[in-house]
Amino acid sequence: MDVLTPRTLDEALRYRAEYPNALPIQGGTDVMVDLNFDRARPETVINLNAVRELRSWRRDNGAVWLGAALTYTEAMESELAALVPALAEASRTVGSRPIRNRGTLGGNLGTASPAGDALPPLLIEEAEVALASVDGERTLPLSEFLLGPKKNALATDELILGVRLTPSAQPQTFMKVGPRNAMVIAICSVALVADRERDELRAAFGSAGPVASLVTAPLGERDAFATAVASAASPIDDVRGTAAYRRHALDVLVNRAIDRCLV
Amino acid sequence: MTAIGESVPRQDAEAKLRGTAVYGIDYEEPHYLHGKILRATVPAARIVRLDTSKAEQIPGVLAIVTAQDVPGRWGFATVDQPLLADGAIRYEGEPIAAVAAETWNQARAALKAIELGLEPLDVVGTMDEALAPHARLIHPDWESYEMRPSFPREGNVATVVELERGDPDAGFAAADVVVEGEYHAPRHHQASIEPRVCTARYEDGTYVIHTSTQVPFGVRDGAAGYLGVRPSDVRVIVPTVGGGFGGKLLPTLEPIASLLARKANRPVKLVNTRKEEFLSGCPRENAVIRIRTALSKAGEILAHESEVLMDNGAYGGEQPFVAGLSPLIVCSNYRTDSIRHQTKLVYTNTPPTGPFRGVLATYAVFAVERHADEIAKTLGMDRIEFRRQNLYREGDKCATGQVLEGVAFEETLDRVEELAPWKTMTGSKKPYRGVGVACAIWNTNSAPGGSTIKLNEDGTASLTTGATEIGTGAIAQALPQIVAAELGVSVDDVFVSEPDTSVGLFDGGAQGGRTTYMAGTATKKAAGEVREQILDVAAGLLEADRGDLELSDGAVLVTGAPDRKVSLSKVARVAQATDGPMVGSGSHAHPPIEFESGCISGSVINGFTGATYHTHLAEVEVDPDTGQVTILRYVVAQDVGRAINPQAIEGQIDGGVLQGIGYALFEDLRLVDGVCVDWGFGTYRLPTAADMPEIEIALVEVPDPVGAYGVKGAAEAPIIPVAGAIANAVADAIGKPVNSIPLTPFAVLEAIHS
Amino acid sequence: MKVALTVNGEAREATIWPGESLLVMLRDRLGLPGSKNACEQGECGSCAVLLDGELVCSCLVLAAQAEGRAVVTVEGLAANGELHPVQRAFVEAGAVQCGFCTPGLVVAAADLLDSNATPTDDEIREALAGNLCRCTGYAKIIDAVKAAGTAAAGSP
Repeated sequence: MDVLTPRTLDEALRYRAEYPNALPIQGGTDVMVDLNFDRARPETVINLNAVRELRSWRRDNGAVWLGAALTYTEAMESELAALVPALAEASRTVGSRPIRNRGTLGGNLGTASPAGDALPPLLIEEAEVALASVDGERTLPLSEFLLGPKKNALATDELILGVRLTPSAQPQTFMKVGPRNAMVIAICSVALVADRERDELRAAFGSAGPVASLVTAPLGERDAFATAVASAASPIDDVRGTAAYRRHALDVLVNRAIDRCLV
Repeated sequence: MTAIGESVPRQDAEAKLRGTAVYGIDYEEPHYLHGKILRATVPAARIVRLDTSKAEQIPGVLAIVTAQDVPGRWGFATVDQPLLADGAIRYEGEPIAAVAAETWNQARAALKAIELGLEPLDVVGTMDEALAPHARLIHPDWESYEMRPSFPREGNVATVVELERGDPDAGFAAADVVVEGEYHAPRHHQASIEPRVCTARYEDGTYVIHTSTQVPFGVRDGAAGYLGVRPSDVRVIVPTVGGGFGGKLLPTLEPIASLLARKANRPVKLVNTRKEEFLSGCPRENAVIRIRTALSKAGEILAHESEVLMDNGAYGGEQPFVAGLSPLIVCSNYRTDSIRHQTKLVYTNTPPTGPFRGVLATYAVFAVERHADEIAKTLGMDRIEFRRQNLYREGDKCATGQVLEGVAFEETLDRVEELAPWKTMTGSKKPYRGVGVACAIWNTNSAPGGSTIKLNEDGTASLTTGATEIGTGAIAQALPQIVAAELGVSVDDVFVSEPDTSVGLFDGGAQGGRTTYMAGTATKKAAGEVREQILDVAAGLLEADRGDLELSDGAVLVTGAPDRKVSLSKVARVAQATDGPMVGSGSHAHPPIEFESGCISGSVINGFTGATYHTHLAEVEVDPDTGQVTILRYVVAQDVGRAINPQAIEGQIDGGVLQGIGYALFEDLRLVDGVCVDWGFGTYRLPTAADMPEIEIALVEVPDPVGAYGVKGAAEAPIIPVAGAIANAVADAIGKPVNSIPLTPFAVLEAIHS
Repeated sequence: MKVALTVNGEAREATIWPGESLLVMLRDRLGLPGSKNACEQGECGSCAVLLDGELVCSCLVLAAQAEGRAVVTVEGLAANGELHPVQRAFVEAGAVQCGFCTPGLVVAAADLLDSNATPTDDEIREALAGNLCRCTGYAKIIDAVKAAGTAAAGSP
């Protein structure tokens, strides 16, 4: 096995083009588990820890740019939390402190798990994903980037640069259900924003369908919204929970989220 | 005798805190090889081809072993288990072959190169399937297996335990009320944070094994049994142990590592991955319990009838012995002389089950106490009132007819009442809030033990014993405290050597709360012998009467004349010169129990030794929308006989209760058609710091007639009443019965809507 | 491949297999077995170390990712051989039983107290929720962390 550590984005993209089968690693919270369990034996690993261009976040003309290397801990920091509160709340529920210090936004996007905690909060703010290769950059809506369970629109020569969104500045929240308080992978989760400016409720669920997905409705339809979200979901029975429970829990969570946002 | 009752800190705390303590997983011998086991990935199959020739060609691979290298079977009770699968696979995770290589990567490559040909067999995945007429026999040759002692068994039924006393039929005929219930409990995995691991080498005819175990003598015997040598040809040494809880009582890895080490002529280290821990460990068995009770209108129990089905998994292990405890606990707590009981231990194509803290009592007490609440409800009686009326009192007989002495149920109920008055707790009924109580009588394991103490020339004492420290503090605190108390030295001047079966006296292992009870009592005897010799020598040196002497602060002094004293170091040096080194030893076994012989078959456990009494109370709140259970309060009153180190006992109660909470609310080692669903901490969820409620503790001291200072086993029991208390509280909160654990949010929601 | 880094204040170098974790490098190459290998998936926290001052699970960090960085393990907590206040508090509170989770816990606790000297019970629970302990039930661990915090806050 070879480990390549590019120092710049350009170098990283060149490696990506040269080694299409290479496994990129940033926080390692997903990739290392596969390596440790001997589930993956890539010939080449590209360590992105030294690529500065992927780090941190910044304001960008009314929009917010979140680098792919942004960690959950960074997403919880007060200045960013004020701009994207549901993301901060979701980050607080991830794993544990050591996981939050390493787990990244880019990792969530790259793994594209239906349980990815960062995904519902980004969907409700209609985030766009920026991708780059040696041939240039492209942007697509997050909903078009997530194609299925653990499937995304990333080409083998591309890297995720980060995510851009325009904060709605509207009341929003994130909620998750699991049988144990901490260290839990969501049985189901929901991010919800009550957007008064656009007269719209937007909710995205996690772990209740092959892909985290967005559901919208006018504010006036708040009473029926929980049912609408639960119906839009297509949860399955799996090791962590049953479809019936997930649908029920989603209904409960959405109602609680609406109550919290439309006090 | 000041050290007894003091919360003295552990002797091994600093090394553990600095990260310098050497655990089994840290222990390394020069030039050791990496061992890895090829394990079955299906639950049932015939092995038609096993070819290791390609694997043997891989550079760095120095030994490969299969059943051909170690034919035959071994077992604690029934001799039914090959060390490596012999022609048949009976559970997913069963060891088929093992390799030893210079590097981990070479060992991994060797496993991949072993060619295995299997013919699948129908999986007998559940007890129902195993007990069905014409069910495939998991052990077609069961009749040829030796079983010692021999208990009733047949086909897929590994053993049957039966108990009958009095006239239960008459009791049921005369009943005003009959209450029936069926209860279900899951598999429960010990999940000690350190996995099982060992290093073995073969040296001049002796297998020398360093292993993370609770019972070095059990490992010695198991390894000797499999390898066909005398027990004294196996030497087992125990480094610091990272938890056991019963999961490190069976000799699973050690014989394999020993075999590899002999073949390779190099030390071999075998470490279980977390997945191997879950797949091939010996979790607490899943079980079904049915209880029927006949009562008079006034709430007197006229008869008790019960059945238990215990899932043995593919091989017996210790379970045929554990099963013998079943009638003692299921037919327990409440006074009655008319009992009929049957327990069946059933083979299935699943990982062999085994002892986990409390063994079957965790589900037996869950069933008994849920049943008691249902009885109280049916009779319209207050649940505490029913218990106070019917729980064992001094002189009552337990299920086997043993007369109980030193019964402390009342005392534990009183202490809980002080901390959480029942009228207050049940008074204001908030919606979806509930209170539950569970009482239990439990045993202290009384396998024998022994200790040797020498008085060193500098006045310190060295204690050697086969007993093992697994985290409870029995060896790191209690035993040194006993020596310190008897010899008048500081605990810091008592040194305990690491367990070594070639050096220390036999010990029955760190299990069943027995270490302080048995090895501690032996240690007190040993210290007493040394004390006698000290007094003899000192009397001569001080020219005083033995009767006027006392031991204190590392010296012997004349009572009332403190300047007439002599240091222990002087005593030791004088004794050494005149009589030889000063040494004392003590051995301890429990006197036999009296019971109604003939009432029980299929069991070697006839009653209680070091019986302890417990009352737990839980207050919970249930979220009716998500089914989540929050524990608002948890109160424990535990009879410990004598609290040698109160802080250490509290630590055991905190830990045992939280394990019980995991069992009650979310731990479930799930299998589907014999295939393990939960093989990592991601889905087998252990309680975290965020899940732990405040636990209020009251220690009750009703002395044991046998244990040193009146001590009884304290470390095992705290897990036992927890599921009962919490289930009773949840049932109270939702107004519906809950007879299955764990009470996951899904299960609770289902119960609410049932 | 070779990795050069600072561990517990000392410059160290190791020859590793590229696919191994920082945890394996610490235990098997650098002679620091204090951090433990119990789950290999970041669920138990017994491998917790500080990486450039941040609490991480060393089983989830590729050894090569530690190149040029500073790691602090449990072995580095005691300054000049003197127990760290958290370690002392654990001894007194009776917060150690089998001790296998203890190294990860004291690193996590020391990290918490560094940023929050007087945490509430809930803050302690949340901060330590990533460390599994099967023995103690956490109660005396929380007592120890509170005591260590108070002691440190009270000292000049």
